Amino acid sequence: MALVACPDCDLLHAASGVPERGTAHCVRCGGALLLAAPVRGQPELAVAVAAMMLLAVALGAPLMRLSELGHVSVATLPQSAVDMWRNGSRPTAILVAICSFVAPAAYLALVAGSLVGCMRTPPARWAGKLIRWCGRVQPWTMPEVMLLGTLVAFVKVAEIADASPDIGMYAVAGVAVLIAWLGGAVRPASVWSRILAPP
Amino acid sequence: MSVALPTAASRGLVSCEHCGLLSPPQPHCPRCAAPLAARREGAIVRTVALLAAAAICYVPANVLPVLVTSTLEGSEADTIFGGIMLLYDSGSWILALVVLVASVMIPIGKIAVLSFLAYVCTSGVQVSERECMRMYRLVAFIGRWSMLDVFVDAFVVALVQLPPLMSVRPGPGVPFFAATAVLTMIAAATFDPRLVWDRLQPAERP
Repeated sequence: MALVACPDCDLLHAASGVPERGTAHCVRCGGALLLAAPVRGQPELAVAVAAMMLLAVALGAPLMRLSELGHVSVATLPQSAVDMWRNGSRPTAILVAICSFVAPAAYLALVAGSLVGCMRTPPARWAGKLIRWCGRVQPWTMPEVMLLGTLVAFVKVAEIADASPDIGMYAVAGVAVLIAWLGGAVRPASVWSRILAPP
Repeated sequence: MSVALPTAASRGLVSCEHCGLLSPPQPHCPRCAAPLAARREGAIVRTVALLAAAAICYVPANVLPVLVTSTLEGSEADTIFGGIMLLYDSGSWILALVVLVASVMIPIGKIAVLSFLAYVCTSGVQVSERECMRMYRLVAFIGRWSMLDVFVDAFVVALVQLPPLMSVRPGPGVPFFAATAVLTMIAAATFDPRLVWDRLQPAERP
C-alpha cells in the first residue's frame, strides 16, 4: 500500500480508497494530502487557453474610464504599472506588474505547456519541470486581489469624477475564476504520477 | 494530545513538498528532482527575520502618505488610514471595512500569528496543535489580500491623470506597504508547520 505523509504535520497515511477527483485530509491536523488525481488533459487545457485569451483582453482593453469637464482618462493594466514606474515608485511598479499580469501569464503558459506534455504518449518528462515552475509562480498570481483593488479604486475615483467600468474589468473577473479552477484541477502530484510511477 | 503517531521523520523517510513522494533522505527527490529536506532549512530563524523586517516596514507604510492628490487648489496627501476614512465618509462603509481588514488588520495578524507559532516551536508552552494549524492555514490563505492597497493605489494613480485639473501620484509610503505585504507572504511560506507537531515527538526532532 502506498504511504503518503501529511505536508502540514508529517503524519503517515495509507493512501488508498480516495475517490476520483476527491481530496483526502490528514486525520490529525486536517491538512490536504498531496495525492494524485486523474488529469484528463483536454478540458484543463481548454480552460487554460480560454484564460489566456481573457488575460489578453484584460491587458489590452481599458479597465475603467474617467471623465471630468470633457477630459477623458483611461486606465489599462500595463499602463497602471507604467504610471507607477514614472511617478517615482519603481519597486512597487515591478511588483504590480508581476502580480497583475506577468505571473498570471507565466502560470497559464506553464500549465498549458505541462498539460500538452502530459497528453503525449508516453508523457514527456518536461511536463513535470513545467508544473514545478507553476508552483513557484502561483503564489504571486493574484487576479482576485486585483479585481477587488479595481473595485475599491473605482469607488474612490467615483467620488471626484464620473467613472465607469470597462471591458477589461469583466475580463479580469473571468481570469480570476478560471485560474482558481485550474489551481484545483491541475496538481503537481497528479502530473508527476502520470509521467512516472514512484520508483 | 501527546500520542506519538508514526510520522515520515520517525520512519526515516522524507516527503517531497512538491510531488508528495516519500523516499529515504537524499538531496533531491528521486521522482521530480526537487530539493528534498525533512524540514525547511532554518525555518524559525528565517521566519522571525522576515517578520522583523515586515514589522519595521509596517511603521512608515502607515505613517507616510500613499497617495498625493494635486488639484488646482493645491495638493493633499493621504495615508492608508486616511484613505479608509475617506471611503467611509463617501458612504461605502463595506469597502472601508474591507480595506481596513486587508491593509491594517491582515498585516498585523500575520506578524502576530507567525511570531506566536515561532514561539510555540521554540518553547515547551502547552497549546492545541490543531488550533495552531487553523491559525497557520488562515494566515497562509488570507495573506495575499494584504496586497490590496498596492493595487488600489496603482489603479487610482493610473486613472486620475487629468492635469491640470487633478492628478494623483504615489506617496512614499507605497513601497514600504508593498514590502510589508511581500515579506509577510514569504515569511508564511518559510515557516514549517510540521515543527509545531514535532514537539509531540521530542526523540525524533531533527
